[in-house]
Parts: sequence; C-alpha cells; structure tokens
Amino acid sequence: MKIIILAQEKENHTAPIQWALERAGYQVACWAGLSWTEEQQASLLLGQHPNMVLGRHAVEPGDVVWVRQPGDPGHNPKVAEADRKFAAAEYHRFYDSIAYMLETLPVWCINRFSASRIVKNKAVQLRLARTCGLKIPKTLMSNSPGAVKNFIDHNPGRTICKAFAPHLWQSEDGGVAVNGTFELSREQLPADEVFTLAPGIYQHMVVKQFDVRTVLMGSNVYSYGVHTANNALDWRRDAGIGNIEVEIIATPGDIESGILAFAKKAGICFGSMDFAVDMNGQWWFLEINEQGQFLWLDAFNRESKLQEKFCAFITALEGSTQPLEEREGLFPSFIEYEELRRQLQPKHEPLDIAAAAPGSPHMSLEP
Amino acid sequence: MLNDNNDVRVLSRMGARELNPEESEQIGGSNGVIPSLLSVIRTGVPIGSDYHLDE
Repeated sequence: MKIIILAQEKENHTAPIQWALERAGYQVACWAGLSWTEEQQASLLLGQHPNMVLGRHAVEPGDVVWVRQPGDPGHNPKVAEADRKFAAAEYHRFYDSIAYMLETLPVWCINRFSASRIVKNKAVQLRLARTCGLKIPKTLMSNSPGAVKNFIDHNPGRTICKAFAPHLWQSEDGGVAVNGTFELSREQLPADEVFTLAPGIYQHMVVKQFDVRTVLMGSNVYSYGVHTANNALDWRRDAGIGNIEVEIIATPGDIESGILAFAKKAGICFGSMDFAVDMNGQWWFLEINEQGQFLWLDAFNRESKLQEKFCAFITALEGSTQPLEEREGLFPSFIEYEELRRQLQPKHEPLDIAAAAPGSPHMSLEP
Repeated sequence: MLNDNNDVRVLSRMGARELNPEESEQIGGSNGVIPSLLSVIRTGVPIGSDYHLDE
C-alpha cells in the first residue's frame, strides 16, 4: 500500500504530511496534477483490468489517494494558437476522466472527486447542514438588488456579506487588499447596479462568543475554539499573523451527530468545518472546506496533534472506527517538521502578486 | 465600513480590508506561515497556475 497525494510536493500540507508518513516508514508518492511535463503526464489503460499511471506512479489496489490540491490541468504552451482552446479543453476532460475513474478503482479516495465537487458548493453545504440538524444562519445568495435589499430589510438583526471565494487585489503602489466577511447595513448599500457586478452571499450575522474550526477524519470529529483579541468577524486575517488562540474543545453530541450525518450524505470522509458559537452557546454551521487547512491548529496548540491524527487516519483501513489516538504516536509532529523546515529553509520568499496575478483566478491588479 | 463607494467596483472589493505590510508578507504559504489565503507553490508551470486557493 502506498499513499498517493495529488498535490505539489512543496504544498503546505503535503510537505509535512509526506515527511511524517515517510518517517514512519510509509511509501508516499506525489502527483501534482495533469500537465504536459513528464512528471505530470498520465495514462489510463482500459481493458479487462483498468490501469492508471500518474506521472511515475502506478495506481495499485489498496492505495490511498489523498486528493489534496492538484493543480489545474495545464496544456503544453507550445501548442499552436489555433489549437489552444481544443488542447485546454481536452486536458480538462482527461483530468475529469482520471479523477472520476479513481473512484471506480479499488483505492481509497480522500475525498472522492464527485463528492468534493458537490460539497464545495456553498449553497449545497448549507442545505445539507440544515437537513442534518445543524443550525445555519438565514442566507441569501443573489445578484438581484431588490432581493438583497428585501433580505436586509426583513432581518431583525445584523447582516454580513461574503464572497464565494477569497480574492486578492494589489494596487499600483503595492498595497494589498483581501476580501472577507464584512458587515453590511441598510445605510451602507451602494447603487443597485453594484449588486449585479458580482453575485454575493448575504447572511444574518451570528453574534458570537467565538469561532470553531472542526476537523472531520472518518468517524472522528475534533473541534477547536478560535479566539481573536477583538472577536473579529473573520478570524483568518488574525490567524495569518499569529494573533489567535486555539483551544481544544469538546464537540457537543448533537453537533457531532449532525457533522457525521452531513459527511454521510455528502459522501466525504474528511474536511474542515467552520462554526460560530453564539451568546447562548448554540453552534451555527458556516461552511465546510473539504480540503481545508488544518495543520495550523497544531502550530497554535501543540496538543492538537492533527498531523499525527491525519497520518493515523490515512494509513488506517477505509471506514475504520479505531480511535486515531491509538496510532497517532507512530508519527512525528508538525512542530518537529516546522523546526526542521526552519533550519533548512530559513528565508521566506515573498509572494510576487504582480507577477502572478495575470494568470491567477484569485488575484487582480488595480490602478 | 465600505472602503470605496465606486459604483463600478464589486461589493466584496468595497468591503475588502487593506493589509498592512506585515500581513502582506504572510499571505505566502507553503514556504511561509500557515494558514494562508493563498497556498503558494512555485512549480515553473505557466505563471499564476502555481498559486492555489486555500481556506
């Protein structure tokens, strides 16, 4: 059995997990996704027994495939301009064939591609969560000015606005802005047409005590209270600069049942969920990222041991109900990895947004 | 508070927060601090596609 990680080796969760697994004696292979280079080529042979090769790695029965973060399919840039669209589309279709095909092979996918595609949809997430007994804030997704204004007018409390995905903007003077969750009052509403420029997510604000990040690994649910100094609406920015406290907390029984029911309905076995805990102690489901980051919790609270738990999870049998704590001691910690990385790679290379923005769907330059 | 009441900018940009220099430096990723808004993976593939959305 080997573990195949669909991501670049340097990816921020792949590198530590690969290191930890190999230290414990497991065989790990990384495949960065479909592209024209030799390492990223792929082949599917369909005969009596299907055969799949990802880069230099044959997919074999019993393998575990962690679909962490494969790159978008990339066609060979040498292709004639007149063939570019065709080549790009064929690369995407071939990648879909690979990803869906994996589900039909005797391997364990974390998560299955079909499940991950649907559960990434924020509307579906909320709907599923509600049907599984989790509380969700009343939410409108819309590009209709009338609908948005009506939603805010009929909300007895406060309203927040957020986007479907993060985005960065860099101005000419080098300033960087990042979108996030922000409060929107009736008095702040822009001209109607602005609502049609981009759809948005509008939601009744949960006046919260604190945030919770919950990590699902099979039948195990781990919850962490995330506290910021000023109880920020969106804790991610504070987390990015280390201004948070992470506390291990118990998951209430009804919430754990709801999460496990959600996972069953969605067909996923792994993911990171965000909740807000209100002043009455009620947990409100906000969203799930089926490949959401989780190792940062170890960085803020050494007792989390999520790196060890995740390694125990993906090296167990699919569907195992053995507590991960029983095997977590086999693997080194994220803190050990970080110490090693700092010694080997002390300098942090700054991100060049201006260079990256033209080709990135998540970054823009502005005047 | 909305930053820019410009009627051709999207609402999310109006509500976006400007990062200070320290925060800007930390949005990197794989070779820096996590969590990051963007996981940065330098692969040599066409520019841009080596930057992944990460939450």
